[in-house]
Amino acid sequence: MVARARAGDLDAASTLLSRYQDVAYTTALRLLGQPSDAEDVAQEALVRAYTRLSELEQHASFPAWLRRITVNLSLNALRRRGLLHFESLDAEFSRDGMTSRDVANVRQPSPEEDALASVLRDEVDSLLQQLPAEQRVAVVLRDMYGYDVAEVAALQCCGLSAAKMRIMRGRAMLRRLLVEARVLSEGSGD
Amino acid sequence: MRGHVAGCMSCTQRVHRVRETRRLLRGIAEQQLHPQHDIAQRAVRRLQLRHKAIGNVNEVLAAVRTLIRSLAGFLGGESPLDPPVTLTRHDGDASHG
Repeated sequence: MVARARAGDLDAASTLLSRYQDVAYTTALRLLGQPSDAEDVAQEALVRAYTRLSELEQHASFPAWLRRITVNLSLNALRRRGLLHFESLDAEFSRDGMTSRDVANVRQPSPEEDALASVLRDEVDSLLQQLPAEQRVAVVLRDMYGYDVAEVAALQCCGLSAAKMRIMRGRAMLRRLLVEARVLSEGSGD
Repeated sequence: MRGHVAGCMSCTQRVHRVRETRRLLRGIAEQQLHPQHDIAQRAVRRLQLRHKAIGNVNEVLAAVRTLIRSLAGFLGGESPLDPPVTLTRHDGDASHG
């Protein structure tokens, strides 16, 4: 599909973009918070992903690449709005040899798990939007999509310690919100 | 550091809380949300318009090229229908032996 789209086949491009539009939209929405903004950025990301398809390495993952483009465009949008200002905690993700970016489709959940997961996802996504933009972006990139701290710092145009601080504060605030919403219990943890 | 964390109840709890939050976020990371509108179709429409625009620009450039050839032919006394002179690499190649 990617090869056909790369050769200029617009039908293949249409199928490819339809298949992965949710990846772009979800990423943009988690970073930007507003559905209409997320749709605009996701659309731009899809156009850009197609027009730069020749830059995608042959065996690289299209959705991971699309997500990266979406992250960059979303951060640019936040920066333009003044919500992101210019200025390695650990290696937990790489310990098991895969990052959360590669975790997709490991196992198909049952319909019950799906329904529960969807409620949980909506709850967590809505709580994430209550975080200040800089902390939300840092937590989403680090904890959801497995970017390392250096990447988070580079994308946010800030130093390593500032990035660590944003991640730490974002996590703490999110945890408090999760506990208040009874998604997690106060003393939980093994 | 690890030794301290393992022996300190407060640090152990903090690490567990961080891991728990991260696990939760990682768990929903690959669950996708659906946009209200079909943004892929919009993107494809934009791409089609772009292709069409590029096609139009090429047509305009071709027309301008024809016009310039005609003018050059007219001013130089040559027929505008003469085939354009195409450059070959012979001269350049010969200079390199």
